Amino acid sequence: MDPESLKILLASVITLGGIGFICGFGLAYAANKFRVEKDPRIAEILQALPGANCGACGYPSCAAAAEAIAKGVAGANLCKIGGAETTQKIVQILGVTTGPPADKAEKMLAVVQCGAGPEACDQKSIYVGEPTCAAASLAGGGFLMCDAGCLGFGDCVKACQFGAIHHESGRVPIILREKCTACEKCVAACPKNLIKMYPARQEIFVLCNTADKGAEVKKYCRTGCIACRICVNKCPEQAISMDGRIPEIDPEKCRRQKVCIAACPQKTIQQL
Amino acid sequence: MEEIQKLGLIIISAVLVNNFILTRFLGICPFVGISSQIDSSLGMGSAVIFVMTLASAVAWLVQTFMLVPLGLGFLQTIAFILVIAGLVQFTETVINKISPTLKSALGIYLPLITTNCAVLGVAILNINSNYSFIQATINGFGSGVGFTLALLLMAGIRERLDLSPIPKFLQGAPITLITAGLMSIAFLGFVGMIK
Repeated sequence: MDPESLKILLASVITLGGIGFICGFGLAYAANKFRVEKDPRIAEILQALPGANCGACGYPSCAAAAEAIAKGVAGANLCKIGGAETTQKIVQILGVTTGPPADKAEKMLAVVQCGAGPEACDQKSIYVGEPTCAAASLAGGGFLMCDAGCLGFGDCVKACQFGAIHHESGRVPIILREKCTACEKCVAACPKNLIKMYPARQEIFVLCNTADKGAEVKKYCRTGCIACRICVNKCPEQAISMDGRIPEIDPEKCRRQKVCIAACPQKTIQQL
Repeated sequence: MEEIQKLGLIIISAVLVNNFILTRFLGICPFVGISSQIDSSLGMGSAVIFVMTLASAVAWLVQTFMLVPLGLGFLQTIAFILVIAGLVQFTETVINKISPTLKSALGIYLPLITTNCAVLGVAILNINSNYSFIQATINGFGSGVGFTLALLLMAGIRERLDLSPIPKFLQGAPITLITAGLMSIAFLGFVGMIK
């Protein structure tokens, strides 16, 4: 390489490098000199929040929620989906005592209380309208013989912002328990009020919500509860009670021996 | 007196005749992106005026006292980008400290237009036109005002368009681009105003 181009090369490198160095140094100095002191707890609270920016708390983002919590505008238990764990972390950051009582803090999960759907339930009419549960439900309470049954259009799927509901058209949606954040948006979306919140430790459920008599259910539904009380009698832990129409499983007593699942003649009781 | 007259002509030229968006077609991206509301286009416009004025001044200094004496004119583009980006970042840091009100007004727009083609364009055009330091700075300011004018006009039209019955196939981007084209043709009327 001839000395002339080498000189230009060197001059270019030094000039640009110099400009870059001066800019970088100046910025670093400015960042330090003109630093705006912010509440350090905002960043910590933001770390503790789930970071989903779901808006369930009413703030547009987790960052906005963190700021509100740090300022004391909102409570430490603001985040609905983070639950007790998040609240506990935020409480520690803020140095305040826990607001909500500890027993309320249990993690909950949503469960669809129907095992049949249009597939396993006889239809009283043919529905050709708008393919949403809400619309179908308006038309005479739906097209199923069962007034409580899942209509299978998946309104809950659209409501879920966390992709926690798997759904094939015409079937009962499956809530993915590992993804469910208990934001309860699907609960509000279901026109049949089929989705209920259960403690996360409960694994065995009675997947039926009908109010009809057992003999009728037997006629139109392949998986509906017929109120035979076999599960109540068979359970070795007496964990199943039946005060109303549908048996209830007590998660405190249940030891997951699955006797009820095997005994149920309709296969209404399932482990999820 | 003649100098002041010339500066006046530079401003009129930058705002109307050689409007950055509608005549030179630079900075189209923020023009389409941020012109849906008058409020945000005003914020964007003031940020552009600020950055363009600053960039013109600094780029002129860099060119005259650094690149030309060293014979490194070919480094113009990259050196300008570097200096302008650094400067805008520095200004943002300072504003953040000194005036939170101004900071929230300029908001995200300041870093957004740091290396916008219109900003780089005004710096390079100043050099190509052999402007003096003051002329370059004034031209930068005028170009920013021209940018803001175009942005505000567009925002005003688009706020009206939102309420108008537009055929479905023209809604959104198509009607915006057609509007921009018509505005550009209208601004062609200023050509020849300054010789």
